[in-house]
Parts: sequence; structure tokens; C-alpha cells
Amino acid sequence: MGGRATGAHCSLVTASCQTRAALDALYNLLLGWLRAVELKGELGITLERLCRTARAQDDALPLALLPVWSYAAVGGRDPQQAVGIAAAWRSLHLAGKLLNDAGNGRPSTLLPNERPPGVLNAGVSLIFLAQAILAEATASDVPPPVALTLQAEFARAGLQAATAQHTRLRGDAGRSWADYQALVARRSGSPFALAMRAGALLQQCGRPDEGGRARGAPAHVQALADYGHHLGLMLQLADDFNGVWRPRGRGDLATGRPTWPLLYAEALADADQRARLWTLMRRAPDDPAAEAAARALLVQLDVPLAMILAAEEQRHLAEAALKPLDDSEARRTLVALARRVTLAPEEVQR
Amino acid sequence: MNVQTIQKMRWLCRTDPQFRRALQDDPPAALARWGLAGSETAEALAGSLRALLSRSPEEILTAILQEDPPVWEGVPPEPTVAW
Repeated sequence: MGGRATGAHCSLVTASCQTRAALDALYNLLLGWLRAVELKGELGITLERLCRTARAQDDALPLALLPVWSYAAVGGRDPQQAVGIAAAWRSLHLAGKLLNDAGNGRPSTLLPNERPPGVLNAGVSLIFLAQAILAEATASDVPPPVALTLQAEFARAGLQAATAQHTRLRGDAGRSWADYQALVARRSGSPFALAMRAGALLQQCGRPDEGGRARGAPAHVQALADYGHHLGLMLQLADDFNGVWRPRGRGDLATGRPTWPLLYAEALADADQRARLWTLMRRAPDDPAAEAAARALLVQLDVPLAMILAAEEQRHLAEAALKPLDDSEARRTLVALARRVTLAPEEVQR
Repeated sequence: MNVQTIQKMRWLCRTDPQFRRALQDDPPAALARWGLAGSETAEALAGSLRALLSRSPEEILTAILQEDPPVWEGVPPEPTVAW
């Protein structure tokens, strides 16, 4: 992602001892569960390897801790309490990634040695793992109505993402830039909204109403969920940018994946440019020169600038969502995280 | 984000010195005079992102790519750390 990892942004997000300790606890929980259920054979090995890869990701950008920061941002005093929820969310999030790869029938970057059926099985396993960890994390100290609310939130977010993915896989989503934006709002926004909502709801259970229920949908819970939604869209933008200009292996233009840059260019181009783009895209799977020419055409059409603008718009909305919250280290961390993720070079961030 | 607004502002910056000057001196007035008032995209481009308008598309791409190596969401860094 483009946001520069220097100065205050980086140190706030990644370098603190508390961050490392929380990640240690989170991944020890995940690995502990995998060992406790005594998965036999390759599946256990595969999932442990996946956990190590995910940890390496989180050392660079600790998205797994979103529920912990959300919990702290609404006044939670013992962030360790939110680690279980965070582990459950991370497991579900990884499951979504694997199922997405398997559904697309392409090699998974998270499990590069697995074929799609194995990736599919690992993804389903992680859903069960998320359920188990969530149940344990809410078994004590969390009023049963709050635990049920959390379970329902996990299920709802998972189903929303699955619905969006199903639409895309069936080809029902349309192929315009606007269609794509609507799709990713559900597919990429809702998992991160869940991460933030879950952490905030957990803190709410420390202040239940007389019936022991979480307090409806307080403004702070919604504010954090909104932040997560916009952060998810920023991450999707960064992924789509990387898919064209920083590909690992075959990029999105070579594989013909219609993501934000291509669809935006189609929306922006005049008839001649569009015809040229389609010609290049037809040749791109077998012709690196055509792929490079298509990439250059996207640049001529100012797609990188448009992506910066779109990312900055989402960052602005993410930061605005946090305004109702009191100042805190967790809130500042969330602001820094959004600045880390945006595609805008640091010197032009609003 | 509005596609047409980006195109229009880019075009104005390239072709109209008056717009460039006005954008420098008084961004809200410039947006109002050239029919761009009320657009969030235009306001973003007239604000701190204004510097990008004077850069070529290639320069903007380079600015993004020159940032630190990307952290991928869903695509991991090489798992070289024995953890």
C-alpha cells in the first residue's frame, strides 16, 4: 500500500510493545486451538503455516488487532479481553480470503502450495475455528445476550460477504465501475465493519442495561463500524492498485480481472481509447507487451490519480467517523492506520 | 468521486493559466467561477491534493510506487520470519 511507513504513522501502528504482545497472544490462541483439536495430517500443518504467514502480515500491518483497538477506543481498559474476539475475527477474515481464492479457481497467495480444493477445505475449517474461538471468548465475563449478538454479527457479516461474492461469481453484478463499487462495498467493507463493531460491542457488555443486553446500537459502535467499512474499501483500492502496478506473478490485466483500475478506465475513456483498451486486454493474457501497453493507457487516463482521490475520500470518511469518540491512543492508532493504508503520498494527504 | 470532475480539472490546469492562478490564490472562488463548487472531488483536488494536478500521470504513478514497499491485504510478505 502506498501510505508511507515512516514517522509517527508507522510507530503508532506497528512498533509498540503492546501491539506485539497482543499479536503474540492472538496467534498463540489460534495455534493453541489448532493443537487442542488435534487436527491430524496435512490440514493441521497447513493451517499452522497459514497462521505464520498471517502473523508476518500483521507484523507489517496489524489488521488483526482492529477489534482490540475498537474495544480500547470506546473505553475498554483491558485490551487482552478483546484478543479472543480479534482471533475469531482474524480466523473468519482469513477464511474469506481462502474461499475467495478457491472460488476464483486460482492459486492462493496465502497457501501457495495448495490446490483450490485444499484451499476451499482450509477456508471452511477456519470458519469452524472462528466459531470455536468466539464461543470460548464469550463464554465467561460476557452476558449471554451480548455473546449471542456477537455470534449474530459474525454470521451476518460472513453472509453479506458471501452474498456479494456469489453475485460476482455468477456474473450477475454487471461490469461497470459503479457496479463494482457497489459490490466491493459489501464484500470488502462488511468484514472490517464487523471487526470494529465486535470490539466495541464487547466493551459495551461492561455497561449492560438492566436485562444484561448490549445497549442497542450506540453511536460509538456505529461510528467504529463505519470506520471499518471505509478502511475495508481503502484496502480493496490498494489491492486493486497492486494487482495492476505491483503484481506478484500474473497481474490483473494479464488475467483479465475486471477490478477498479480497468473498470474506471473503461468509464473514463472515449470510444477510441476504449476500443484500444479492449484490444490490448484481449491480447494481454498471452502478450506481456500488450499488458504493458494496457497499463500505460491506464496511466494516460489518470487512473492512479483517480485511485488516490478515491482512497483519500474513504480515508476522510473513516477519520470523520471517529469524530464522536474521545481522544485516546487507540483512536490515534486508528487514524494512523488509515493514513498508512491510503494510496496518497504522505505529502499530499489532506 | 466524480470522474468528469477529475477530467475537467485536469483539462483546465493544462489549458487555462487563469484557472491555475485562481486555484493557487483562492481555491473556493476558482471552483465557483469554473462551475465546480459543491463537488467533493473538486474540493479535494483544490486542497492539499492540488499538487497532484500539476504532475503528469506518470509522475503521479511514480509517487505512489516510490512509497515504501506495499503491505498487501490478502497477499502476504514472504514468510521469512521463523515464528
